[in-house]
Amino acid sequence: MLSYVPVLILFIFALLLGGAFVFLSYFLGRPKKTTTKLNPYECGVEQATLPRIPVNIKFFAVALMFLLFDVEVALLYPWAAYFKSMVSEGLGTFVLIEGLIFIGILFVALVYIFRTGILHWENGK
Amino acid sequence: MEYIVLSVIIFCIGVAGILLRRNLIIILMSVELMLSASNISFVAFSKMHGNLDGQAVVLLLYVLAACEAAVGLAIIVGLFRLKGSVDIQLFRDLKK
Amino acid sequence: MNILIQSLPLLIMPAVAAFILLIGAMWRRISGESLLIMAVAGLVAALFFGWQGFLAGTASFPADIIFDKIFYLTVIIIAIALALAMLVSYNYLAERKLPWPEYLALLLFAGFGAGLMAAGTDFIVLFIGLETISIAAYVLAGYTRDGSSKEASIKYFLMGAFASAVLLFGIAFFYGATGSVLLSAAPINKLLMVLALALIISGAAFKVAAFPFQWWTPDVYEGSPLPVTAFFATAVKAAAFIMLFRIVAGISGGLGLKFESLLIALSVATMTFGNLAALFQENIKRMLAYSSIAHAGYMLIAFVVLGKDANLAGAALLFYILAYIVMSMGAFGVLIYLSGGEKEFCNMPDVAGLGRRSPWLAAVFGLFLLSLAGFPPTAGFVAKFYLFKSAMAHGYVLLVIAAVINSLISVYYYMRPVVAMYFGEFQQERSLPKIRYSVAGVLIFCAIFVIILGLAPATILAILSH
Repeated sequence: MLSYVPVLILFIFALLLGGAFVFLSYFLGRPKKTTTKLNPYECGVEQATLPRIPVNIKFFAVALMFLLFDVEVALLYPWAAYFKSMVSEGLGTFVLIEGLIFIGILFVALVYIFRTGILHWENGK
Repeated sequence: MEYIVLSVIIFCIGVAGILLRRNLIIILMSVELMLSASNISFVAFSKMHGNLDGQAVVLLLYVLAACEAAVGLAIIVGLFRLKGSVDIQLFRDLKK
Repeated sequence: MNILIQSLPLLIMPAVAAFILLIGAMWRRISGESLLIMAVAGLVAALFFGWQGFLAGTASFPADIIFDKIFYLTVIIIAIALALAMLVSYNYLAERKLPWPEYLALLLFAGFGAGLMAAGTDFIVLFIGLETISIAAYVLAGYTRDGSSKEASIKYFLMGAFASAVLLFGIAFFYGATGSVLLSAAPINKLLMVLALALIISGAAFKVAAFPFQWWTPDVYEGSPLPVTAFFATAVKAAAFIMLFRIVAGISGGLGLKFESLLIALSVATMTFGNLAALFQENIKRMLAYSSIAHAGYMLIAFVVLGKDANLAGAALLFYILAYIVMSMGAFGVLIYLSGGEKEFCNMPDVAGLGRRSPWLAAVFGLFLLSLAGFPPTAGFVAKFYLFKSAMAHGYVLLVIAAVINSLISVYYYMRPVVAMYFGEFQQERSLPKIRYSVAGVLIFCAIFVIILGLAPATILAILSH
């Protein structure tokens, strides 16, 4: 452990030195904020468009749908993991129906999403 | 024990984020951070007590957190279309 | 199979909701009226099965759910509140051309969440119910297209999500302290338990809008569309109180800790704040929001009594909730009746001279406001009387005195619209909208109920006292 002490000293030294330089330049330099300086750098050419391009709102909708359906499946993991032991206890039908009801609810949601046209990409409905 | 401390720290970061930040997306992330903090402590306590209740709960909470995030994002998208920004300072038309 | 029948009142609501969503999506031409009738029929069925279950008695599910009398009574109360909220919003939605299926389905899902909150004997079931009703409420708050509605939605969402996270963190510590998420679990670690209780009570106080956590209420109530505000003030509030009832009743069973003085402080602070802030509001919607905070303060009295006599406290709380639902639904219903076209008219000058223009409407509005203020012979008076009497019986004299003084303060602001209606300047510019049958029906129902609860409360009290 002791052999690492020089490394530690090196680290501390580097930190101090770096910090000192930053502080010194902050106090001595006092950078002026001008419009040109704050602009995004674009090779001297005038900025053409805003850097943030509005993304089509449908991306958000699809992302939300993905988020929901992706995470809902997490509930199926324990169901799948316990399925075999439940079957051996003679509760197979009950567990199967339970799982089917859950998937059925997800299916209803999917049908609803399809019919309301959220996943419809063309001719922007 | 360390995990409990970790979860408390994460929870506090979430609270600080909600109180200090002005961007709605970041506030939403802070809320999710708070939910994740309780997930961590559920798992930690589950290990401590040696029963699996806590871990089963975490799965349920994942789904709830996702639903909340989805609704929150949808509301934020609606607000963005209304005002063109997600800065919380813009939304104080109602009397304070 | 028996369990399935027992849980029918709970399950019928999401089933109808999913059906309405599907029908609405598959068959776009379907009219709002038929969907509305379907939803109300579903609620009536839930009410019927709830009554059957109430007669049949308690059944407990193997896992963390109990179907006892309180659950069935809550389902009945919530079903009534939801049906009224649906009927009252008919003209409002139709005039603004807002979509029907989602609105009805969200209300029904909220009803399911409320049922879960009444049935859970386990923090996770309660929390899932709470999230179900909350998420539906966030979306409903932003249901119209104007900015204030969206703003109310985001405020409600942020505050609500924050409160949920705090509550959840409290539940995590509760689990840490007891090794189980059952409400009745006994603590192993006292320190963690105190921490857990502090977080849980804070989160729950947020949901019922109790004193230091009530700041979201006025903004959200004011910004949301009127029928949705009526829904928040009735069904959501009732569900939150039932959840708090379950939590406090469950926890104080397995715990030596006393938090009676904390509840007394919460109650007095909440009602005082609500009443004082409501005094000088020009917007009636906002005034009713503050008044709902004040009523939350009164309802918290039941939780103080809870430690001494759970049956008495439960009956007093349920009666108060029922009375509050009919009278505040009625008050909001009058405002909905007045709001025409695209705008809501909720300011004091908007009701001025209503006594001459529309005597019936003014009389009904006056009745609801008198009931909210607690004048005999209305529901509000009996509810307050019964609640205060139960507190008095267990020796909380100072608390009752504080509550009575608060009720007297509240008379001032409840009388302001009444004075404006009967003695205010007549406004010529705006004519009354044409008759709205569904809202009028709800108003008549609420008015009759307010008077029945006020004159002959014995039967309903007997039912609630089980």
